[in-house]
Amino acid sequence: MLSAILLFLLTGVIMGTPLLIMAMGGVVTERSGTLNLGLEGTMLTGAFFSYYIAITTGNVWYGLIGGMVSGIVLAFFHGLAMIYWNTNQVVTAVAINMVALGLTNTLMGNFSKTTSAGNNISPGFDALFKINLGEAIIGVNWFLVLAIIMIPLTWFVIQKTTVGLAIRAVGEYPTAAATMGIRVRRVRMLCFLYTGAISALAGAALTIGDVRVFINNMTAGKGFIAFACIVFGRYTALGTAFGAIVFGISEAIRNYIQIFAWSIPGGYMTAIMMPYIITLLLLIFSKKGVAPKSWAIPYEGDED
Amino acid sequence: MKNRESIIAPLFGLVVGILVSSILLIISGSNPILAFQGLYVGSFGSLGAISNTLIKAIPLIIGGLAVIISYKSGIFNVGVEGQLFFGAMGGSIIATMPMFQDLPAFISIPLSIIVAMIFGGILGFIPGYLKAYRGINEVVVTMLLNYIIIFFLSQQVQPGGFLHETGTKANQSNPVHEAMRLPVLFEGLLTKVHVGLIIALVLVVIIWFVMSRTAIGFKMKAIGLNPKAAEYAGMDMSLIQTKVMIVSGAMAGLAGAVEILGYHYRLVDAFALGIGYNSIAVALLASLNPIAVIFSAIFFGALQAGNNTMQIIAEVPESFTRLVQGVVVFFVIAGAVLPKIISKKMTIKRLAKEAVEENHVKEGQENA
Repeated sequence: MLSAILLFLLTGVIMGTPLLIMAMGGVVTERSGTLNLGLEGTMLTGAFFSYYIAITTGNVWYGLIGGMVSGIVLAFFHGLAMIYWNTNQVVTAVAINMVALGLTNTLMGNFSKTTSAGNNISPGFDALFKINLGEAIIGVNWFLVLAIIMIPLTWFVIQKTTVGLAIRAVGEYPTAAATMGIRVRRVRMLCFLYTGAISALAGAALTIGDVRVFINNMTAGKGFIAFACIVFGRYTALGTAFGAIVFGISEAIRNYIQIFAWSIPGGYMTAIMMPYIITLLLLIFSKKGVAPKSWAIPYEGDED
Repeated sequence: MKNRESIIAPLFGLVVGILVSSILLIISGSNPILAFQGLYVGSFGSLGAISNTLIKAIPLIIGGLAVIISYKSGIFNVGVEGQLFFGAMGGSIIATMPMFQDLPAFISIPLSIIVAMIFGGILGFIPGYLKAYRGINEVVVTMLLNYIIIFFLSQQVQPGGFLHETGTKANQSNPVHEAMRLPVLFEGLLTKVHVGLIIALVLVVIIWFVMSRTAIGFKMKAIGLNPKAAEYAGMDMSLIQTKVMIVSGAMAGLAGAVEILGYHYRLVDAFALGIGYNSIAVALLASLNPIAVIFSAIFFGALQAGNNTMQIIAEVPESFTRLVQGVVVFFVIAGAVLPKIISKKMTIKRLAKEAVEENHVKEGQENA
């Protein structure tokens, strides 16, 4: 029984790997006091460009780096508008997500005209080991290792280092931080670019780390779920990780329902809806969040 | 001054947005001139094309208004997509189920629309309440609800679902009862432009009137502009924002019913995918002005209507129009703030220069 529960938890972590990576990246931006609802967009661009570059160069590492660069570029424009020009943080993210969806769909549409169905598989990272579930085999690759390392690392950097102190300072009391000589906008922007790179890496985990093809809008709301995990985790690294693993488990349940053809009311579609419903319920029944004091409030100071 | 700014930002957004997306298209190996030519032919090139553009603009006008009232009140309804789908489901219960077949049209059409608005309103209430009374970010809640509702709709039109057309394998509902289809305007001149256009235009006038001529509109704008000041002035911000979300959702639901009764004539899996998100683009391009929504909805309606022709003429993937939308919206947002930032920087520079000159004068006087 214990081993069954362990296996269940493990599949939860495996299913939640991209989400875990992204949420760990996202929590840094939220702690620096910026609302980042553009995770969906950077993840999608990361997923596409890592796939596209990996398949055209034949080198999976180029794909990974290219994907991360694409996430940084998109986050740069997003952060430029939001952090330096103080545009509305929600509306800007909506626009960025639209750009990401339109851009990746268009490029993919043009790219798939030049390839036949058989050779649209990109190179990818091989599984380190495989878990046999009887009817299905789940591969585990180093993205999982990375995700697990990122949990304590993110916690350590935010809570125990001077960099983390600066990040928390601009998130809580930006004006006080500025008088201490911290450049508020620069710290927030660097956090934002880091999150862009990490969420693009999470996107790469979906394509070159998993299925090795790109499907239009394949992130399907994971960026918003990652954000929900951060709110649920009360803006802490460990809480967020817990939220992401819970989401992974709900995805694992969905997959079990599909693989083992369990019959549930409403069938397959209910299974697909479930992770979203669980996330929503988690959000509703979580304690009222303790957001950083200056969270989602643009910095009005004069320094550049 | 205010009016000039609200025209400059959208124009700046349109021009720069179209330029940037053209460059991206060139990089991806297609010809943007051909693409926009195709878009034009498909959206304004013939009477059929124009009526197609208008049909696409109808739900965008209503959805755009739904977005405007929420954004003006400081709560961001990103859930028009889900509310529209849920409303369409509610409307379809009356419009497609056999038990309501014998109702006279003057009862059944309004009934169907009202049910749709109630469904949409319920879906608007959830994020509104959670935001106003629990402080849960409305964007996440509405996005999650969008996904849930879209899947829920496909589930219900699939075999086994309560709206599924019995005896078929297709994922669709029964057709809308003949008597309940919305009448077509300009019979013989423009094809299929339906009464929904009138409904949308009437709504534009109502929303414009409420927002600019009534006390409630003033309260909404006060909350959106300065929530703290509004609360000090004794406004119940939570209650007003919740109500606004209910109305916003109801309007999205109305758009869903109009789409079903006037255009699609049956509920199909993912029949209106993207309309909700496009409504956000419509509202932002219109600088949140209810009257300007008409033009911005026609522009985005034209992008959609011209899609097919563009695909055929220029061999550009249809999602290119989505890219154009996103980039245009981004630069509209940027265009609204950039003039202020530039003028602020210029003021700082001028002040610095004046200070330096003053110093020189002083030094000169001292030397003399």
